[in-house]
Amino acid sequence: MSAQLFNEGATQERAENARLSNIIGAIAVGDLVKSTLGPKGMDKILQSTSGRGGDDGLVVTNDGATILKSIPLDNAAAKVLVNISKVQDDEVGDGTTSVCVLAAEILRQAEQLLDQRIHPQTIIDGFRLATASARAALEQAAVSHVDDEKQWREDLLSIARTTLSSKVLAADKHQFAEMCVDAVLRLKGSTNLDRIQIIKKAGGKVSDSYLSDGFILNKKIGVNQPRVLKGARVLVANTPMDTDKVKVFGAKVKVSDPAQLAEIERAEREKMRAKVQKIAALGINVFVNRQLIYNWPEQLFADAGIMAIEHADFDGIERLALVTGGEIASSFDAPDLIKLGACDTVEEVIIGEDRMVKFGGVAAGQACTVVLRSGTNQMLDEAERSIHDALAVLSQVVGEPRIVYGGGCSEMLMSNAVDEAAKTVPGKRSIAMEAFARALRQMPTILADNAGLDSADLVAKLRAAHYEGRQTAGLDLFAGDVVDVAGRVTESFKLKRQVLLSASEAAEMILRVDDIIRCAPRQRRN
Amino acid sequence: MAAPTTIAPARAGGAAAPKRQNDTFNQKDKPMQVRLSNIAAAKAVADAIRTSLGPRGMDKMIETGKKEVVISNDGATILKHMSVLHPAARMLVDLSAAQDVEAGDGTTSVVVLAGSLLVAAEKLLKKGIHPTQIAEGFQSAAVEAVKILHDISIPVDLGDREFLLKSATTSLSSKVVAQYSSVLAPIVVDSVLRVVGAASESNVDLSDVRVVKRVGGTIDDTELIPGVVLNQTAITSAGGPSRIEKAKIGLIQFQLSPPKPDMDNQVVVNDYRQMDRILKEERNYLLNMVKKIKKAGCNVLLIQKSILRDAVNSMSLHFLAKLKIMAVKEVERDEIEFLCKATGCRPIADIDSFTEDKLGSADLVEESESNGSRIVQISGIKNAGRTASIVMRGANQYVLDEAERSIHDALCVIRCLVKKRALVVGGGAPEIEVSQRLSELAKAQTGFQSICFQAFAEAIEVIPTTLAENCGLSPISIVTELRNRHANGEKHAGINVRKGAISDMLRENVIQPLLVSTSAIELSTETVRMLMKIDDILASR
Repeated sequence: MSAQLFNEGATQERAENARLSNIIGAIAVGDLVKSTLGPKGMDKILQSTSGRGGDDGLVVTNDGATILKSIPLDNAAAKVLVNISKVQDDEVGDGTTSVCVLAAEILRQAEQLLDQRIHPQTIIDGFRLATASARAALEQAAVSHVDDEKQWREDLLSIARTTLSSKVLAADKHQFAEMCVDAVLRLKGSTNLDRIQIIKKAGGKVSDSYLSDGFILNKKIGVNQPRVLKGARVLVANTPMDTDKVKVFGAKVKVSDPAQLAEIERAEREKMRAKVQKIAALGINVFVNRQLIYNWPEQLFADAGIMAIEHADFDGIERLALVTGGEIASSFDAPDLIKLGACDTVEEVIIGEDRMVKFGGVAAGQACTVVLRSGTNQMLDEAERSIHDALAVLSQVVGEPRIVYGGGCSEMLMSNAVDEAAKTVPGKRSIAMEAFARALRQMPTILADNAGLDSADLVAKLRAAHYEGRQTAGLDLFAGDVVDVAGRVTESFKLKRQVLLSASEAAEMILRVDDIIRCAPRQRRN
Repeated sequence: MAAPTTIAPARAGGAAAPKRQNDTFNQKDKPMQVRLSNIAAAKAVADAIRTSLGPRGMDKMIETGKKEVVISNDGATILKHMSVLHPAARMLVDLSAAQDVEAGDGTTSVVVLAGSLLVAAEKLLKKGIHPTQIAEGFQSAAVEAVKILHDISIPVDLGDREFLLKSATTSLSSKVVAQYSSVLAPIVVDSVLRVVGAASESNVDLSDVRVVKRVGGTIDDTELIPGVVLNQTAITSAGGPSRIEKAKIGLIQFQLSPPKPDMDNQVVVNDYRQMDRILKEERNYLLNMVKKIKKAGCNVLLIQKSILRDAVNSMSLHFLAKLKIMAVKEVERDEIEFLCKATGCRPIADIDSFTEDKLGSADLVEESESNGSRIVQISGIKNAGRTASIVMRGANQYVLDEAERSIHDALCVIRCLVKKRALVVGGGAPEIEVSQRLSELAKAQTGFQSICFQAFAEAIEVIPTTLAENCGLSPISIVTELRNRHANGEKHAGINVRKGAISDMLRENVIQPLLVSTSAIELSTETVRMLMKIDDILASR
C-alpha cells in the first residue's frame, strides 16, 4: 500500500506513461500545424469560443505562432512546443511552424527508439551529436553576398519571396518582396521595426497596397488649419488642452454672484490662451496631441497658423516622436528642454474613404509606412502578419547576412551530414543520430505532401542528388521536381539555425521528463 | 535504404493516437470536410441575396436585434444586418462591405459572383485538383478577365453629362426608387460634379455631399439645393426671425448661457436681496454677449451642441430675437468642417474673438415649410466652397432610408467614373464577353490552368443567368442566345429586362463604371482564394 503523497485531485504519471503522453501531445501539435508549411500550405480558421462573434472572433491565418498561441491546450509537452514557437517569433519572426514541426518529428523518431528499449539519455546524447554535425554542415553551406550590392539585394528579395510564398500574399509576392526589402533597407541595419508602420484599410485589392515614405497618422487636421505644410516643425505632446483642472478631489469655489463666475471662466480661458501661446512660442507649425484639443485652443492654433491634430493614439504619438526625432512633451515651461521633431512636408491624404495626415521626409529618414488594402478584414490581418514576418526576417538578415537555400535543400544537406557522422560513432548513439537524420528528412517530405506530390519518390530523388554532390538541389513544389534552388528559394541562415537548435533543445527537454505531476486545480468557493 | 517507407507507418500511428487520447483535438475536422462546409456556408449567403440582383430584383425585409425593420435591396446593407455566424459566411459579408468602400455599387453582384466561383471550385476539388492550384488558376483567370474588361470598356469624359446620367440611371434602376430615376439621376450627377473641382482630380470626398432626409411628400420632391441645407431648424420659440436677407452667418462654439467654469462652484446667497442681483447679473452677462454678436454684424447664428451645459437658454434666445438674430442650435462638432467649407465662415470659440472677418455671408437664409417639415436653407452664398446639399423626401422612414442608400450607391457610381474614367455596358453583356474570351484562352493552355480558366469562365455567367431568372425569363435560352450573339461579334448585347429580350445595351443606355465590374471580379476572386486555402477550423480562446 502506498501512502497518499499528493493533495486530493493531484495526479501523477510515471516513466513510460509520462514519456508517451508527452510525446503524443507534442506530435499532435506538430500534426496540427504541419499542413500550413510551405508554398502550398493551407490556412486555418480560428474561431473564438469565448467571443460573441464580431470581427475579432474570426482569424484566418497561416502563421504557426498565431495558431498555437490561440488554441487552448491541456498537455504540458504541447505547451513547450507553443513556447518555442513563440520564442522563434520573437527572435527571428518567421519559421514558427517549422520549429514546431521539426521538434515533433524528432520526438516521433525518439518514440520508436524508446520502443526499442534505448535509454532516453542515450537518445539525447545521440541527438546532441547529430545537432552539432547538422549545425556544422549548415554553417559550411551558408554563403554571404554582402559585398556585392546587386547580388545582396537579389538575395534579400529572394528571402522575402520565400517567406511570403507560404502566406496569403503569395500571388503578389514579387510586389510585396520589393516593398519589404525597400522598407528594411531604409532602416539601415536597425532592427527596430517600430519605424515601419503598417496601416490597414479595408477596400481595394491586395495589389493596391503600397509603400509610402514617411509616417501616416490616422487622424484629421483641425478646422480651418493649413492642409499642407512644408518644412514642418512638429511638437508631439501629451497634455490636457482644456483648463488645467485642479486635481484635488472636491475642490470647489464659492462665489456670491455670477459675475465672479464669469470672471473665473474668463480666467480659465486666459490660462488656456497662455498655454497655447507658450506652445506657439516654441516656433512650431504642427502640434500633435494625444488628448483632445477643444474648440477654443483649436481656434487659437488656427489663428496662429498651426496645424493641430488631436486625440492621436498612444502608439501613434510614440512612433511619430520616434520618426520625427522629437520627444513627447507634457509641460511647456522650459522651452529649452523640449525637443522638437521635424519633417519636410505634412499633408492630408485620402486612403479609401478616410482622410489621414502624412508626415513626409521625416528627420529620421528610416521611417516608412506600408499601406495594406484588401477585401476582407481577415485578409488584412493575415497580410499584416505576413508582412511582419517578412520584415522581421529581413531585418535579421541585414544583421547576419549569411544565407542558405530552402525548398528542403538545407534540411537534406544536414540530414546527409548527420548520416555520415553517424557512421563514425560507435554504439547506440549512432542509431539515435540516424533517427535524427530521418526527422530532418521529414521536412521536405511534409513540403511535398502539402503540395499533393509523391513525397517518397521526390525525397529519395533529392537525397540521391545530394549524395551525388549537388549541394544546392531542392524541391520545386510548383513543377514537382528536384531542381537547383540556388538563387531561387533562399532563406536566412540565422532562421534555419534557430529552427534546428530550438527544435532539438525542446525535443531533448521533453525526452528528459519521466514524471508528470499535475496539481489539483484550486477549488473555487461557491 | 528506403527511409520514407520506414517513416510512413510511424506517421500514421502517431497521427491517429492523439485523437483518441486528447480531447482538445477532437474538434478538428478533416480538411476536405472543412472546405466543403466553408463552401456550403458561403454559397448559402450568396443564394440568400441572389434574388435582389438586377432591375427586377426583390427587396429583403430584415428585423434587427433591436426590433427595427430595414427594407433594402442593397447587398451590403442586407448582409450587414444578417448577423451570420459561420466564419466563411462572415468573410462574404466583409467582401460585400469592401466592395461598398471601393466602388459603392455592385455589392450584391460581388457576393453572387463569389458564390458561383465557390461552386466551380467545389467541382474542381472533387476532381482532385489541389486547392492551391485552384487558387492560382482563378487568380490568373481574374487578371485576364480584368484585362478583357479594360479592353471592351468605353472611355468617358467627365464633361459628357449624358453618359454620367445614364450610368446613374442604371445604378438606380434596381432600387426601390427606380421609377424616380429621371429625377434622382440628374441630382446625383450634378452634386458630384459640383464637388469635383479640377478636372484632373482622381477622387471625390463624398462627405462633401450632404443628404438631408425629411419624411413627408414623395421622392419626386427630392431636390438639389443651390446652397446649403441645415439638418437643424431655426429656434422660433422666443419669437426669433426665420428669414434673413443679406445674412451674416456666425458659427459659434461657445454657449449663450450663464457662466460655468470647469471647476466645481457654488454661488453662496446670504440674503434675499442678493437673489435679485444674481438674476440681474445673469441678464447683463447674456445681454453683453448678444450685443457683441450683433455689433460684429452677425444676424444668423449657428450654435454648436454642448454636452456640459446648455447651448442657449430662454433668456439668451429672447435677446437674440429682440436683436433680430436668427438662431440655430444643436450643430454637431463633426458638421463644423462641412459648414465652414460650405458657407465660408470660420468657427468662433470665444466671445472675445467674435469679429466680422470670421462671418460668412449669404443673400438669404430662410426656414421654409413644405410637406409638413421645416428646413433651413442658405442660398446665394459668397465664397462658397465646393459642397452640395440634397433634400430628400419620402412617404415614410423606410422608403427614405432605402432611397438614401440608393442615392449613395449612385453617388459612388459617379465617383467611380471620376476615379477611373471608363464605362462598360450592363445587362450581363461584359460578363458574357469575359466568359467567352476566357474560354478561348483556356483552350490555348494545358494542365490545371486550362481547367481553372474554363471553370472561371462558366462561373462568371452567373450574373446574366441570375438577371434572367430574376425577371422571370428562361435563363437557359437567354444565356445561350447571349453567347451566340457575342460569338457573332455583338459585344454589347445584353439582357433587356424591360422588353424581356436581348438587345444592344449601349443603345438601351444601360451602362456602368468599369471600376465596379473590375473590383467585383478582383475582390471576389481574392476571397475565394482565401477560402480555398483553409483546411481547418480551430476553436480558439
